[in-house]
Amino acid sequence: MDTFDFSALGTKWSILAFGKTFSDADKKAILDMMETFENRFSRFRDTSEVNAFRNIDPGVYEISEMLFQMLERAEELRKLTNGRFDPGLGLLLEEAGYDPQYRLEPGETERITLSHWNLEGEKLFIDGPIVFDLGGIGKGFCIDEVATLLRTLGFQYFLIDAGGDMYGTEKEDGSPFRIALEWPGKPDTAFGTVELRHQGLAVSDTFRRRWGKWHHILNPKEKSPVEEVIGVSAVAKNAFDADCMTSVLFQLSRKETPQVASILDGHYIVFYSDSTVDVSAHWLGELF
Amino acid sequence: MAIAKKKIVLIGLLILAGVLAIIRFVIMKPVTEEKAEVLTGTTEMMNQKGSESGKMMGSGSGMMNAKTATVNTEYSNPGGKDDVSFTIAVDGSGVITKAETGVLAVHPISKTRQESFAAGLPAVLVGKKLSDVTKIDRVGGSSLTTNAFNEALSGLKAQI
Repeated sequence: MDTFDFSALGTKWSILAFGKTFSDADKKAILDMMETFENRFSRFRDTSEVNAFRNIDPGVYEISEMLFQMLERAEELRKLTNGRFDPGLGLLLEEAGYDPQYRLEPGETERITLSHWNLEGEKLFIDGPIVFDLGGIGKGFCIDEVATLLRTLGFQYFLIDAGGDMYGTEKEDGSPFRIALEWPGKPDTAFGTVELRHQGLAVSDTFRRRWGKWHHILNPKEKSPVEEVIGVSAVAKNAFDADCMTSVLFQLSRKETPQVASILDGHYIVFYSDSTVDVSAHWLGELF
Repeated sequence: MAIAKKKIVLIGLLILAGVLAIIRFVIMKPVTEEKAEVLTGTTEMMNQKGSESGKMMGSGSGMMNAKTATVNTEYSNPGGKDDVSFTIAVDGSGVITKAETGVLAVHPISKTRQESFAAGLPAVLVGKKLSDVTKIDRVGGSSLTTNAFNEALSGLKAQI
């Protein structure tokens, strides 16, 4: 077994590989890809594509194929949540204090009017200035890109751990990767395990990135942080699907969850602020 | 609010008891001969909780060893009595393929509560120290944040 650790997208990454070791060229290829992705899609990089519509007139604009892929999915997720999941809320996150300088001091969030966006063919329509925050979909997308790159580089059995979100193939002996799952807000406690076999895992909670009454998962309609759901774990066929699922489930009532989860084709565990937990019927792993 | 919560917890326990009884029935017992015992078992479990009673209907599908079982039961609440049903299906290898709560309540409030339970399987989790979880490859959790974020946060805390 070989391991390659590095920092990217604001967190620590670790790739476990079986049956092949990381050459210098492999490592460089991975780091180059990460740097490119971050330059293009991080809200915290001035020149990124998600920042390109910050000071711009309403209109229809050409976008890159990758941004199109992410926004195309986001448009579906926005529909499934009646507008509550929307990556076009970058300006609201900034006003709440989650800006490139990590100001973490909320401004006048109620004053913010978020512009509307939608895709027209392969182009982007905006009705005013907009900043996209791809948190909640971008990392999953990126993990899958890394998985594709690893296969191209000749890796067959691997686990990509992007600071707690993952994609795992299977191990050389055909057994799954076994992952312990952290209790939302209690880093020393696990609530269960999950087994990954050619699947993605996404885990998110409202505890780690929290300042005052704010945290990083917002309801753009209410212009306030999400409070009913405090943690979500999801498993799906790839990391992008799993990431999308956690983002959507944060924005749903528990009544809406099973139906939407079946549309998104994944398994989930949702922790609510009233100390209750809902588990989808086919969770693969143990619960403690 | 507190009473409403208590009620939800009670319904939750009831549903869990029902589901567990069915799981035990479907997985552990041959379908054909143990209906009576399950009926007793379910009733006992319900009776321990108070005034509820249970009635069990089991049916083998006839295909392989796949089984489906449904239990209809009723429970008392301050507004009267409500009916609820649980159905569990298990395939030939013992894997649960379906777990459903049937919403039978008529009263609007009870209906809403039962529907919210039907939405997902409510689980009771107590957790385990991570250090006690063995044979794991990694720990999944919300992303560790950057140093910059954490420094900003501690700066903010210092100001308060």
